[in-house]
Amino acid sequence: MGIAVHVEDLWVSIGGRDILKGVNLKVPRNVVFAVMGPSGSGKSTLLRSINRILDLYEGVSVRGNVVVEGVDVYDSRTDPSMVRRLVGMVFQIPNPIPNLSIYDNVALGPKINKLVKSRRELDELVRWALEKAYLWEEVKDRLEQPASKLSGGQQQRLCIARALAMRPRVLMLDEPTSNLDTVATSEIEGLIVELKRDVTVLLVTHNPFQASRVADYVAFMYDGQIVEVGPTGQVFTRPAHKLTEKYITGRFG
Amino acid sequence: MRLVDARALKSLALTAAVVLAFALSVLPVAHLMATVVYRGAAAIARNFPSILFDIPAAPGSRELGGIGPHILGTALLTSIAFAVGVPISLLAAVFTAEAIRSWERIVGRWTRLLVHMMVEFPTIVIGIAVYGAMSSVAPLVRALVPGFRPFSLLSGVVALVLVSAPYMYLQVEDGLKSVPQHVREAIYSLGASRLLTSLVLLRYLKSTVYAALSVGLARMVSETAALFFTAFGSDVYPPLDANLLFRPIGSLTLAVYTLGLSGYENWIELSWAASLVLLLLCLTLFGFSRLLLRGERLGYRSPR
Repeated sequence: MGIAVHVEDLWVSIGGRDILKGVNLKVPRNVVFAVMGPSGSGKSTLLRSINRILDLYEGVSVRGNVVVEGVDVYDSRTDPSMVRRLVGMVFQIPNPIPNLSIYDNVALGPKINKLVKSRRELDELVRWALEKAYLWEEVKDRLEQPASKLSGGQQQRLCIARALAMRPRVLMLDEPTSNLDTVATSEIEGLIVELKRDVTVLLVTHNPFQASRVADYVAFMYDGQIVEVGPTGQVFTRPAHKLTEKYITGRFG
Repeated sequence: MRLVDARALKSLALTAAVVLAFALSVLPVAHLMATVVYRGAAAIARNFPSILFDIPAAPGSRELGGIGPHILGTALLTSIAFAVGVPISLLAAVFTAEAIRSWERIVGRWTRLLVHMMVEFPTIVIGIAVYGAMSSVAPLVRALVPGFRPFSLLSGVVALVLVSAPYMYLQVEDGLKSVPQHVREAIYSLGASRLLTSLVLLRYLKSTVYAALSVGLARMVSETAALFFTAFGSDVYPPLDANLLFRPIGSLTLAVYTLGLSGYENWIELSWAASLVLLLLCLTLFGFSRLLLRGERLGYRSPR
């Protein structure tokens, strides 16, 4: 199966405050791996440190190792842009670029990174990504419309298509359904399960039920540390740690 | 019933007051514009189309001549200042709005402070400062360029850049700062470098950028005070040679002022013609920027 993401003794501090405190994690290839935990436990920071989005923020210090598909993310010779091409990301708030069309939102990444040589190739890539995100049938006749005209669930699937168009090896989703209604949530969850055939999916959620529905493996995070990791069935039926048990039974978090 | 009548009366009085205030504020502007259009059009019609190309006739003569050198001067001054000022403003705005590291933030803070101060400077002071700087470097520059003079097209360009760039910078920087962080993260997460992310954001803010550039251009076209001590003004065509940048040059704004105050009937007429050309230029730029902002409010414009 192999390891897609290997995080080793990762410490992240922002503005002098430790957010991640020696995180260790191995994410197998082509699975859905959920990181769950209460708000403020460091889940989103963990994702942002894997693809170096943290570089956008002031006062961030990172120690430890992150290796994604054999690429040492924090090696001084590693190009951060290359890391972000390798690791796609979908955010909590659906964030299509508002005044770009549906087509251009998906085409933006391949264009920026010159992944395609012709317009025909780009058209095919956009279609492929939208089909993978189960959005093609809904938007194929209105690709030139602004992305902001789509519903919340459609916008989030568009963001997934935009990330997929980069052909990433790992797709990270940071609480992708927290702003969506139940129907849209169910659509996205179905999509997440489908996606693991093509990419390794790393999902962050504060909802243990969502993790149990879609993930093959889960990690429970609390106060910047990984408390417990294991196959979903095992963690949910026989949690090894009292904190995990309390969290999944809704007694805290 | 009486209460309703009193309310209606109050409403009527207030409406009348608002209409009166509106009329008082609009009437002088309308009168000003009408006068410029009436007198300017009369002057242009008298010697059309030569007025757009000729040099002014001798003062006090029956001939009118034209404002050709002044139109050329304005075109040269604004186009060169625009070409220089736009990249400086955009790069500075991107740098300060997208600053992340602490040294970038410190430089950004000082840049912003300086720009805010420059906006408040009287433009004639900018003109004098540029003249002073040019005069002090003139002996050195003359060793390389014998024809160099502090009163020149080059000085005029520097003054116009200093006058207009702060306006363009502030508008673009405000636009960049208004972009939600999640949009920035979205572009960044697609493998774009910081510079590329900024360029995509500028495209995202296309209408704001165009409007800022229109404002900057209008500022350049209409600037007068800063040019007195820099471009200086000239009523003849400059020789189009390698020393073009180092010679004094005319402009429409300087023509309005100097010809208008000359006291000669034919030059005063030319001053009205220059005013009308200037007014039309500014209105065109204003209309253009309004159109772009309207496009932004409507929300969508295909980037392709």
